[in-house]
Amino acid sequence: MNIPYEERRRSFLSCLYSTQEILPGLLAMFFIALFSNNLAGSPNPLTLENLFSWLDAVIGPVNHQPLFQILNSNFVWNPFLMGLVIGNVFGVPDSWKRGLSLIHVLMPLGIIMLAPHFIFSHAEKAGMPLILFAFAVMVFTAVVTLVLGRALGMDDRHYSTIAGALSTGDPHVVAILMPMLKSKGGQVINALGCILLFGLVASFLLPLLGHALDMDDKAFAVLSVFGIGNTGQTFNAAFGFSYEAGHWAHYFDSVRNALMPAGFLFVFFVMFLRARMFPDDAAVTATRAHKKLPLFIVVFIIAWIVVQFHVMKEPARIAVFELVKWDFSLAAAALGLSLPLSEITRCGLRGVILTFASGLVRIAVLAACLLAAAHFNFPLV
Amino acid sequence: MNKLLASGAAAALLCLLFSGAPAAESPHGLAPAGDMPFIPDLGGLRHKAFKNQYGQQRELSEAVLVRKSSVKNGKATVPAGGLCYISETQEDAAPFRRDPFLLLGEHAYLVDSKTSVRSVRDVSLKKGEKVLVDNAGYRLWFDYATDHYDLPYIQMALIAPSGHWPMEFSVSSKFPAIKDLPDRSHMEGDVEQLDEFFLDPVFEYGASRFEVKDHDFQKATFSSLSYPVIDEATFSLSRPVVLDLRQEEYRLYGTKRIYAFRESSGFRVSVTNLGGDKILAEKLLRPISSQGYKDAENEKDAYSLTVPGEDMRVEIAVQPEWLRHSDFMPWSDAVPHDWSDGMLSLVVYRDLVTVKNGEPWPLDPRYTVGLEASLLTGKLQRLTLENAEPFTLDDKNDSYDGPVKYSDVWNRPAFRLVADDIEGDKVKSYYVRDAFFQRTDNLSFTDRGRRDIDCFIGRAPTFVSILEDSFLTRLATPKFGTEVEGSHFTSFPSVMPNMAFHSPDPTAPFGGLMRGFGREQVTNRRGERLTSSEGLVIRGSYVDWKNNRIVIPPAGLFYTSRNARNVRALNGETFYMLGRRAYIATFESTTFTRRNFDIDFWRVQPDASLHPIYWQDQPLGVNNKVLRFTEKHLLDDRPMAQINVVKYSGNNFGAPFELAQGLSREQGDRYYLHDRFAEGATWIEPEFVGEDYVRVKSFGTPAIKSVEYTYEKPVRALLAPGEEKALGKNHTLRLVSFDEAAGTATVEIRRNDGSLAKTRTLGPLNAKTRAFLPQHQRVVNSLQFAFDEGKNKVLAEMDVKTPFEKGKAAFYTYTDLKKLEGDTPFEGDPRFMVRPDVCGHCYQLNEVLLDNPEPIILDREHPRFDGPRMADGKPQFSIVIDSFDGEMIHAWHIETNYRKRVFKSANLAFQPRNNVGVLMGVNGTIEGFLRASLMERSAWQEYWRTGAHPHSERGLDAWLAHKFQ
Repeated sequence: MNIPYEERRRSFLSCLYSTQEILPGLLAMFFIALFSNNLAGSPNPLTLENLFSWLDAVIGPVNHQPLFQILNSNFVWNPFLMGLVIGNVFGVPDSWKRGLSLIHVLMPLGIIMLAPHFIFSHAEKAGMPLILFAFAVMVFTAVVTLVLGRALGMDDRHYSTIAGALSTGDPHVVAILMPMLKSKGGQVINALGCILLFGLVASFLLPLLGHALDMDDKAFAVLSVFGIGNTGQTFNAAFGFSYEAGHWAHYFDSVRNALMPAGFLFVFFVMFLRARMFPDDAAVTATRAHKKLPLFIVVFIIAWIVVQFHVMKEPARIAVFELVKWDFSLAAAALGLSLPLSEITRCGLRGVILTFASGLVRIAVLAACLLAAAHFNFPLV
Repeated sequence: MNKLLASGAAAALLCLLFSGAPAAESPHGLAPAGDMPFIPDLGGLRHKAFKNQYGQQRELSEAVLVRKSSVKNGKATVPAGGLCYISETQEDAAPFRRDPFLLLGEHAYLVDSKTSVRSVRDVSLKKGEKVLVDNAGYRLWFDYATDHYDLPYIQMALIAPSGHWPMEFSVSSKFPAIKDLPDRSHMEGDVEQLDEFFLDPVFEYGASRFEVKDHDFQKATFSSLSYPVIDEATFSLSRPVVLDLRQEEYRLYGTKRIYAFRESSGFRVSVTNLGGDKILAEKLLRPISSQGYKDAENEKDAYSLTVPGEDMRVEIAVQPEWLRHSDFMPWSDAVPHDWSDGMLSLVVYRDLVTVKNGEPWPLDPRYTVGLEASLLTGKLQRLTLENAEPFTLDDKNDSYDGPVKYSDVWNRPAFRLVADDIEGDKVKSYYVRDAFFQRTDNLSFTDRGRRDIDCFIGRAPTFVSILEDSFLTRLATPKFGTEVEGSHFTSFPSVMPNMAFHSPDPTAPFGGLMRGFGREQVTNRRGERLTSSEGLVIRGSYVDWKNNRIVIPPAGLFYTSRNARNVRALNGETFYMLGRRAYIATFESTTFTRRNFDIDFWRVQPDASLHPIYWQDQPLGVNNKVLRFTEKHLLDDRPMAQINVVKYSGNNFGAPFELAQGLSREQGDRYYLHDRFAEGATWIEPEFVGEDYVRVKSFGTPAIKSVEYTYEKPVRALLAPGEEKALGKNHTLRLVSFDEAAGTATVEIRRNDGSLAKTRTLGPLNAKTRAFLPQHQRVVNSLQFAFDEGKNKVLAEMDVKTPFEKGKAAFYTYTDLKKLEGDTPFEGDPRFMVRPDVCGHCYQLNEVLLDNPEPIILDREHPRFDGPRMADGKPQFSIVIDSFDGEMIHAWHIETNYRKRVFKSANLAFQPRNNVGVLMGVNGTIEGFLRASLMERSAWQEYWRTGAHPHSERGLDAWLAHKFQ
């Protein structure tokens, strides 16, 4: 018997699916997460993470770094990959779909829980000139990418996702931006692929550039951290240049990490304001679905500000990050399961062109600034 | 002449050619290259703790060692024995305890071993040498020689073929032996310096005995060396089958029956075929219990039945009811006594493998088995597999397989050594791949390549022994910058009330040499060259995040100055004092004695901090030293205690006291240890040595009260009677008379106005008094004339080397003397307390410490703390906090003032830290801390090199960890 929602409604929780409805999908996500990552509380050693780790050891390190780390194997990528393979090879039963829709709860929840991860004081050691410089480069990259994306005639959700991820340098940001920008799964994964591909190519070519420009270790570390961003690929580039540069890359990575929310919030607010300014423009789709500023973003911003005052100590932060891993593992599994490969390829190659164009502009600007700072003895690093 | 030289050289060359190349030295007992790569983790080489039948924890580890290799002309050569697999237990493994042991990655149990004692006679060697003493590859190492009363005593070590040695031992044939120690149980409190200096010519160490016949400073001859060796060991590669024993009945084991018939002294165990009509083996077995003597060669046969031709060994074990069918126990400390309520079980070991020392490995004759015993207990501690023949790696043949391992799935090489890029005399790429196909990073860490393929992969404790010669250089001159290990952050501040007698955080960064902390070779009047150095240690500091501050607790910061050995008066010896060279003038020491007190065994009480609680310590006076009962063993059920004197700095006195009572070789005991201990002027005589505590009847050790020094170089004055010499600004030294035959000189000190201040006769300096030089303060004082009128303290001393010359008497004069008195504020900077430390053997100054009596607080408003001020008023060093967010320290450094310049260390919180612990400079104190944490620090060096996080259980390790739990 099909009872209308209004009659069933007892509280705001009534809008949720029943446990019975979500259980199959939730279990699918759960098991994919369980066999993808070494998650806190799970003793399962048969995980994709462990398989990759073993393969890393068999293949041997590249520039002293594990290969699958360079290829961005992590707690988001692994379950997504497994979900993608399962979903596209075996298909997804309808009974799973309601459970998979929990991604819309898990993503915002994960973003909020990420707030303690971005603590500004961790970056202070690098000095204010470098922090300001990094912030400027981040905003510059975002703006260039947004402008170029528009010029290339791409879907604004797609290019703004690339802008957020490229400017912050972290491919995870595509997942963070997904509920913010209301991007499609295919766009998100396409953007992720573009960022990873760019990072991979750049991480092997950047040391050549660094040596050609006769950069010192510290400057090259800054170039790799803010020119590539993605942690594994940054370290690949930096350690490919020298051990010392690798160590400094670890040091400066905290700056990029601390500034990351500013980067994706910048992209979100640009697109959010644009959607408000052009409500009738059919080409403006990013954030359109938000009638008002989403609550989870408000909560995230408040949490982000609060944690700057050290209300959450390091052991608690680590514990919360373990929960984030659980959360994003489940969400990424759902994303992988619900994403046909065709949706990823549908976005075409324009994303790659955009990423490489913006990325190269950023590297050129960064290198020029670093060389100029060295030339004029400006204490940037 | 040139022709002569040329013909000589040609002849030598011909001889060399016709005689063949000189035989390469055996790598046994020798260290690999000092700069060899160390990789702590490779999945196939395991490092894990298991428990034996009695619940005693056994730390097991495996390693691959390559040593004495060379690269030349595109070829890498490894001599026979140069490639060595090591499986090691930190404790030991013996039959009847189901002791676990790793065999090429497989979890096995030692079920039997044949042991014997090897005696070697008349071994001679020179200082610095490591001579082979037997064909197995044991070496005797003459490390060091020093003196007391100018008589030598020597420090030695017996090195196993693998390179492991448990401890250095001191012996001497020149001093009274331990048995000559008189009864001193009447002594209590501070007593004056004692004349006797003890050192035994025999070092007794459980199953080992080393007796020196004669020696001097440069060479030594040992009349005998006795040490345990293991001739054969049998391992079981599977967990045993445990069956309830039913007397007069049989239990089925596969296709066999095992009967047990009760007899008065045990069970007659009979193994028959399935029908029970054919007896395969039969024997009267006594049940095994935990008494240690049962594994003795003449005892053990009564406790096991091996079935000929069958892969089967039967024992009867007494096991607690809840223990049956499991070899894992719920408790983790030792089980000293047998339990009273147990069940009798038949324990059947299978998959037996017997290996013999010096024989080929059963699965791979290319490798030779080595079985090494613990020198203390004589039980198995190490299994090595070494390449029997030398091998070469080159372009055509770039790998060499390790020994073939036993496996449930596929017997295959346990590892493979690969050198796949050799250019000329350099190897650019080489690595080790394990049985699971996992490999290390390229062990030639840089593009420059290496001239050898030496390496150490794995965490076997032999690593620490094998690096004794080079570890300080490895740690002090890191190739990859100042290494900083990130802290583990806790949910509570790790508060330390006082850090005296505690060692620093093992993760504290080591800054190595830094300008501003002196280190140089100095030469005394006797021409002896000694290293003098100073440093800084911060220990026990913590972030008090509840109050947004960093706290260095009392005694948490200390300045240390120390020489390579004690600093002696009358020799013009110098030491560093806050960046300046200071000349020691005189000292005041006593003997601290205690009697009738108990020392409890120290157990680590984990409190989640890196600083254990030492509540069982017994203090030796105030801020002097403490006694700590750190280790214990049962030697055939007789308790053996190891007690350490711990210095104020947190370092141990070099010689631990190994004590056990009631052991006698004459009565047939396998072990012997002295029941009392005396080395130098320190002694301990126990009333009772127990497993959990030791009651001490009498104990004594030197303590130093004060030293006097000057920054002005002492001046030699040669005076004839009536002659005088200026002694500082206000006085003159005048020789009144001297008697060369008696060795005396009468001198007087006069004021500048000519008035007599003081007269004194110095000496006598004759054979009798020389026998107590340079250590005995009574004799030292008799040769020194100190004078103090409150303005400028001065001192004159007889030149003990050449007291009389050309009809004159020789003196050294000291002016502007300063005093360092223990437990008083430092004269130059009263914020710091003086803690002089004494040599435990003699009564000389060993170390000068200056530490903070009050906590030091650093926060955002007070980010800088200046260390003790030097003579010019500037602090020798400063602690500067650059970035601190209330919880984490993100950047801080040390600054030093040196020759009017300021030097800064690297950021000592390159990775976030929750303390400002640091070791800066290099001297004996810092070296002690480094040695104690060498394995962890070296492992961290490797993580730091590649920017990796410390090894976690990932990949195959996670799988193995669970599989073998």
